[in-house]
Amino acid sequence: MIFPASYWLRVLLHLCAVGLFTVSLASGLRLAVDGEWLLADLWARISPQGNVIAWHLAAGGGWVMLGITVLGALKKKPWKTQVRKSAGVIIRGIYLALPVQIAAGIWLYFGITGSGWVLTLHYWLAMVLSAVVLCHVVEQLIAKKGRHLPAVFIPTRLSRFSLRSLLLGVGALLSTGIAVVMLWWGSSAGYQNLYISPLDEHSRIQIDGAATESAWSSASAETVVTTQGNDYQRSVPVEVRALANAYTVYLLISWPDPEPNYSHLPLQKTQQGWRVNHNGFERDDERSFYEDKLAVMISKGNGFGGDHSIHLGSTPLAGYPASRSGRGLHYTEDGTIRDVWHWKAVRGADMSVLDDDYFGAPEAACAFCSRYKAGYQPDPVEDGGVRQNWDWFRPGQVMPLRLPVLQVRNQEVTNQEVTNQEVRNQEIGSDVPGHAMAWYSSIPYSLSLDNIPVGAQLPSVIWMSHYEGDRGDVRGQAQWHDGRWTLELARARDTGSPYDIALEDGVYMWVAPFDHAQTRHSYHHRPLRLRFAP
Amino acid sequence: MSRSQRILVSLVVAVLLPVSVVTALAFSSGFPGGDDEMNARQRVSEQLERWRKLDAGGEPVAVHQGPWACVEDVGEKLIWEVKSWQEYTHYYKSSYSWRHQETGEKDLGSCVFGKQFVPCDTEDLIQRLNQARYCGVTSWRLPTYDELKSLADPETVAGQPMINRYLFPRTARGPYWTSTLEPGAELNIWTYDFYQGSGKPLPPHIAGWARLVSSKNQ
Repeated sequence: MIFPASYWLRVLLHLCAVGLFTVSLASGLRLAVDGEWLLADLWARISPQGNVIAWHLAAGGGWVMLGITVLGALKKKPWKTQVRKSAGVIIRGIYLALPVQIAAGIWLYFGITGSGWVLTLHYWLAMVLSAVVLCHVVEQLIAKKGRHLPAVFIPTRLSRFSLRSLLLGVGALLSTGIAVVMLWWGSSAGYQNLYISPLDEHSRIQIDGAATESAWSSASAETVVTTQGNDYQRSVPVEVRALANAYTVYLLISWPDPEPNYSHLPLQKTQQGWRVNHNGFERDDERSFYEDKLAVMISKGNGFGGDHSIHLGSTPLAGYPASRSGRGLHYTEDGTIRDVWHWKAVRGADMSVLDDDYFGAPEAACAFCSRYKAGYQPDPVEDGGVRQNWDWFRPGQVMPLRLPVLQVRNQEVTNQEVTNQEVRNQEIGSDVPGHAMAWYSSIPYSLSLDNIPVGAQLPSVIWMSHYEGDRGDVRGQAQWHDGRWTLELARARDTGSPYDIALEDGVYMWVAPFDHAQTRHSYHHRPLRLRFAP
Repeated sequence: MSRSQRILVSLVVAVLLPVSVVTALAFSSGFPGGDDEMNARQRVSEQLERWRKLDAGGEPVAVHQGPWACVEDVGEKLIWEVKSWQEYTHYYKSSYSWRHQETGEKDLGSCVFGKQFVPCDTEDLIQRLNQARYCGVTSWRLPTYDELKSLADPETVAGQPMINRYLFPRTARGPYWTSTLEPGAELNIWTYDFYQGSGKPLPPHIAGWARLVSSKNQ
């Protein structure tokens, strides 16, 4: 240790380190569950649930605080002269690994390029540190028979019934803490500014996923690096530009994706009947047969964990239905909302609309809900949107809901007239051929009409129409080109809906790309802060 | 304090500190406890006791399975019709004028019978369901106002209809007909709106929605 035995600062720092290590490890193991690391299943069973991202990042702040305090102390007392035999040999491993681990955490928090391999380093260093700490405890308890424990748990003067030293230590740590917090707020460490370029009222932005308008080239770009998505260790840098006139905000969001994914739970006919091609859909964790997506979240605050809207684990709400994937639920504990817009490559493609949802207070407990979504709810909608092409999903066989009129007509088993308009309807969304069909170009499924050959596929997505109501407040269209998705979207600055957040100076924004996954998305910790020109 | 006492105190602190931190973590999230947890458990329990899903033949359907055609209110011994996306008899956007035998207005709604939309009224829907022995029963009728209102669930998410949408999906915005008449010289019938969570009497020529009910005992 860098301080003499039972020196008040030594005891205080050791106690803080023990507490912070416990929080960091416990919350970090929950965060690591998605990574499918060695022992991930065990971590899923034993690690705490809920708002653990906030705990993890807050503990990270504590480590920074502790590090600054130690560095300040080291300045006065050189390292070599202070290492004592009582601390044991293994403690040196902690001195070596801990600073690297803290640096890796800072790297991940700020989303610096290369976060993928840093994530790997962060996980395995946590494992190494756990082993080293365990060995350190064993060494102290068995090899040294616990005789050095008081040196790090009981300050000399406190053992003589004086609290003065302890109060001094607490004061020193609090001062460092206040300094760190002031640095935090004063340096934009908690967010990244996205300056929104003013747009002339007469300038038109066509929402088509192509940034062909000259206004986009003058808009400044900010990039956030997201990780821990479907491909857990892959970093996905997402570039965002923004324009705004007096009424509307336009966003141009682009991110790399080697290939576009449109295959969305296709139905396939087998000898035994229809089945859905899927890989985890029954537990809300489809990772193969799913369209690409991107979510945007807006909040008035920049709290950790998506402004405290992410609650990990299978039952973060005791007494309420479990998360079927075991990964967690989105909700807010104070009932405030986070505005969430969801672009979907197939389901929204035909309608140039994003699914306007929100995270709010958890929905009341329900006995008959197959998938309990807690606070993740759609904005009110009268009608429209999409339907799924089955009467009820089963991992085995399903009964399709609809058949395409053209499919039926080609087999000459119906007398319904197919108009040219219906033909055109089936061609809508030329980027997504075969992966969706329009409701009004389909008819109810019946066995008597089903002469489709074994091996053929049916789309699972049935487009109805643009959402009627609040749910359709965000217009958007995306294009994939040369290994990159580009999403162009527009929303009124203030929709007036209680389920939306007004886009005004100072609100925060997060983005989350889903690479052919239902619920697994990559994410970033430090939000963008929208800055409008005065 | 003796040396052994100091070691003992140190050990206690060394164990208590991480244990209390983990306990604080666990209780701060994932363990709501108190009234909220009790209410949630009670709500789930009450729903399981009260409701049962049935298929079109009247056979029970497991809690998390589907599809289902009707929902049985076990306590009240009533069976409720469930609406469908599909454009057939139970289409959720079929509308009806109100008619009971020779009272009311005939065929001023628009509903799907067979493969097409036709003018219709509530009596037509009742006949269809009874003829089909839908969900195994033949006493389909319009619910009374109190019966229909008993489906209302004010704890649902704001912006959604105030009804258990996991049992009664596809509930439309607007008035649902009941069999309860408003006293007075003119014929007005009570309706209930699940989005508003309130009811009002309307004349029979209005095109309203209908969710039929049947007694379980024939």
